[in-house]
Amino acid sequence: MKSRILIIDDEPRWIEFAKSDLNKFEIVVAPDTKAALAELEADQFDLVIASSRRLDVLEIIAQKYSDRRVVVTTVQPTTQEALAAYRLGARRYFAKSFGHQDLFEHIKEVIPAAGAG
Amino acid sequence: MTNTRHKILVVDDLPDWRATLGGLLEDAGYDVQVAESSIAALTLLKTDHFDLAVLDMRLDETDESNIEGLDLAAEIKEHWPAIKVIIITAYSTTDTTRRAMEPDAQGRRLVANYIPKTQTEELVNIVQEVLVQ
Repeated sequence: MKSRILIIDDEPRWIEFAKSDLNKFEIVVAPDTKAALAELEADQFDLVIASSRRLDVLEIIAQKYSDRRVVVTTVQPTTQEALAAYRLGARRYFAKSFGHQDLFEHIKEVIPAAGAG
Repeated sequence: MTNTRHKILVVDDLPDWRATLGGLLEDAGYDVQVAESSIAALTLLKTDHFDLAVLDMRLDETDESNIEGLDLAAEIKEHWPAIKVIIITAYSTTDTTRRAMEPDAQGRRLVANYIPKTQTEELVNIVQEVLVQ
């Protein structure tokens, strides 16, 4: 059974890249906070990959779904945003890059059984 | 007054900051000891009991990489794992934030929290939060 990943992001190029780079996983996309919360309520995910513009979702995950693993992606890393993400429980915080396996390399130590699927 | 039973070690190479951080925590009711270096901190750690340590990240003016406090945090985590550690720094970068706060594969961080010195007013609240975790 494939590991399931929820991507909370609304940037089409990133979503397309993520689906390709993580093609061994089942990917669900939520473009905004409301859609993300509906997905989290309805289903189990092995990992959440959230845009740094959706740190509000991390606050809710920390309160209601604290067993979910979350990583945060950003266009432009900042120390303030990094600290906010880690304080909200992010396992990783990193800049979006579009090289082959770039995203997989960031999540492989975080998602359970990353090699399976 | 906060719980006076908790004992806190404050480590900073700058006297003014030792006084400021120690004073804030003493005013909040904590039992505070201060040290000016990693060596002085390790001497105290070997002879006394602490619940929490507040470590400046740059513990020496010659520490150009500004990470001596992170090295001391790693040493505390290895030898005194029950002591909660908070890093405080005037030299925050995304890399030092990551080194301090990014969990390892088992989900464990090097430190319990990380405070830029521009946000020192958060110290007492964060200490209270960390001590009940």
